[in-house]
Amino acid sequence: MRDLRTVSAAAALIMMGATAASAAPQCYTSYGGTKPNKLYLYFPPASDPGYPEFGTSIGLPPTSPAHAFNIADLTSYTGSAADLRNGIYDAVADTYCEFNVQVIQTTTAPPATFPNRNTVAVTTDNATALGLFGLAQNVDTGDPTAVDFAYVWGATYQGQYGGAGGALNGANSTLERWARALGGTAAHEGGHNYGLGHPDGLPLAAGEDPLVHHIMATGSHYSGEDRAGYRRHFSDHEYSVLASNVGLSVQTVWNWDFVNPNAETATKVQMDILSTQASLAVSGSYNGNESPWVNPTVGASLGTQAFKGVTYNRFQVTWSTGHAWDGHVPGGPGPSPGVSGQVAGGASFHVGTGFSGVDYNLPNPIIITNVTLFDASNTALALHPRNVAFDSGALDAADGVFKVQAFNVAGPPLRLDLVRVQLLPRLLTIDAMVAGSKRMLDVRNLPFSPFGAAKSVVARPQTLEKDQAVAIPIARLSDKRQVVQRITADDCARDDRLKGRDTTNCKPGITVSLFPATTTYLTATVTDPSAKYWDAKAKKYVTGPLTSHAFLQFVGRHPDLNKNGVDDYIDILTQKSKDANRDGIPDEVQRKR
Amino acid sequence: MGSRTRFKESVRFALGFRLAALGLAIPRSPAWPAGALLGTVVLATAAWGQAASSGGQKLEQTFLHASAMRGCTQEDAPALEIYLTRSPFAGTGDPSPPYIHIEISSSPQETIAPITLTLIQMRRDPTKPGRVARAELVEAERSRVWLSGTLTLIEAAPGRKVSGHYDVTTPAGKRLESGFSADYSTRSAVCG
Repeated sequence: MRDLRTVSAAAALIMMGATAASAAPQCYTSYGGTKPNKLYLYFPPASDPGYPEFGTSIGLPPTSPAHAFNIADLTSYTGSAADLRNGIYDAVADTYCEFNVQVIQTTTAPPATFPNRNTVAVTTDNATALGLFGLAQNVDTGDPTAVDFAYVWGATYQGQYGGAGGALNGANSTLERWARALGGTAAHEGGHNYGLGHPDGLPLAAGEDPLVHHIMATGSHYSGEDRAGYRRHFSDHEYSVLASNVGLSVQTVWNWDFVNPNAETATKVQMDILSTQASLAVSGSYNGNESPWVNPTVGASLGTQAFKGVTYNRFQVTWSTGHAWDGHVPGGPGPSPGVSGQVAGGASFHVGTGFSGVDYNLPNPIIITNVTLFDASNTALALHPRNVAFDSGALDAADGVFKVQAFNVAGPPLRLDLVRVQLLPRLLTIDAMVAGSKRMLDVRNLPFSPFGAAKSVVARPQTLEKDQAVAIPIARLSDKRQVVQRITADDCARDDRLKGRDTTNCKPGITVSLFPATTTYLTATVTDPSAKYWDAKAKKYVTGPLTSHAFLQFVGRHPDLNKNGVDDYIDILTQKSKDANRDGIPDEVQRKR
Repeated sequence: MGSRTRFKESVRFALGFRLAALGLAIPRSPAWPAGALLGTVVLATAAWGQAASSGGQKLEQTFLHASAMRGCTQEDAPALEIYLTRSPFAGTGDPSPPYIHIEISSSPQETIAPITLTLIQMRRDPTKPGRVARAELVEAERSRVWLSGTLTLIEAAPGRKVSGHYDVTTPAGKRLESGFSADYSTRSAVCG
């Protein structure tokens, strides 16, 4: 199983009130459990009169008091209430796994501790006569509302699909199917409160799986079997809008193919990293069969270091936990015996990890300055794998081009042979960030298509001398965004928190997907043309070309060169900023230069 | 004559007058073979109030087909949904753009008395409770705008007819105004 999402019952205790979640997915993109947007799945143990009312005002059954979550109302369900709560939690947490949304299960009313709260009351209330499974307080376009609510009528599933022959009756009445059904509705209503509407469920990319596998289309698109038989997920379009509204919780994902250039066997690899952040968190790692190690660790800051005129914090990421593997990467030198935790002299190997906690308002957020191998006695080996450092891109306000910098930080001359870029609608799983990957797969191993073909962004091989950098153009600010949504002034004028204004961040106009895309995937081939390395076949050191590969994915951003808190693309579309030369840079910024 | 009847008749008169002015008649029965389309489709559109304006066919004049069925509002309230389209729409999935999509919150068996509703945008105003009515113009798959203005329902009876008139404006200030009439399919819908 190469799915990066791991299940950790031990780590899944989320203490909210009296409730503990078990067997919940622990998303690898978790910010260490501190995602700022909280999505509460509230299972009231009894009728709760304190829950807000937003149903009766439009002629629907009341949402206050919130009906209890009582499985006695689900007469064809035969499992326990706790199992169903946990199953629903699993489904919703999995749906929001990569997003900057922490899903929390609770049986007590959510506290006001966190400012960004989206509460979905999951009840066993019944609105079968209306065909009503769920209701959101609003479709919060652009997600300006910090506190919002939704309601699930769980027993409508009993009424609609719990009868003889139904999708939740008899042999069909399993925990998993009930959890998918109710979890799908909870995820759908939560999605409305994060700004997704039913039209967002309609666009399908070429080759994308069917609409009924997705979350946000209007209810009538989904049959009982669609709801119970499949764990639905966000479509490419839904994903792009949600990523724009709430963000992705992983920010960079790195993979590398290296060669151990030493004759000695390596038992540990360590990377020296510079970051502007005070602390770094590893968000999942490559645990596939091309790597001898899993579960890297990152320590506290080791002090500061100046680089290119900027002071960074220094960190070290270490891989030393052994893992059964193939002994080499496909096409690379080897194979070695494939001993867990060991790379034989001259063999190739692969390592990778994601990072969160990176501030994208600053350029060069992560710079990998050195890669060192260690032997079994923890002694550094003399020869280092070859590495070109990449940042995760910055806008050049002079020409509106988004560029990634490649640096030769500490080594002999290195040649960049091939750099290719693809813009993606969703996060590519780290396991697919390898040389031989045939398909784009997301973290659920579901295939998806990139926005267009991969393009080569370095026309010819470029040699980087020590300390030299090259800027690689990725995209232009004037490039059309993949998603453009309009928000009206009326949308922002509402006082819809039920109690007090809550739309202070609302920006009438247009909301757009991230730039240059939800994520950007960059691959590069790096060659030291005159490397000294161990030739395992000849059993001697030789001098010649030694090749490494880098695979980098970074999330998009909302460019704001004029620093007004609004994406520059929106400023220009809404004519708040002029862009006479149509380069995507607001003219007021260009005039200042 | 009750006020409801007077309202209905006055709108019917106005609709008939304006359609007649354009050389059209108000159809009283579906123009399509029974069963060919779910719930639907009759005619009904004709622009008035701007027929004398600039030359060329108005966008709303191209929406010659209307379909009415059960559906959901954007926040998942059960609703009457009306699609005004260029070609017949069978009610499955979504029609080919361009089209106007209207949603009016209502329960499945509810007959809505004649009423004029002010369209709201995506976000509801809690200080103004009542029926949700929205309309969006879909000019292309990824080009959708919510409209402001009013929607007048002359009749809306499940299993029978939906007819009325819209007078709406796009965010860019373009005004669309016309009438519609369609069979109201009672095919059940689920929301959420």
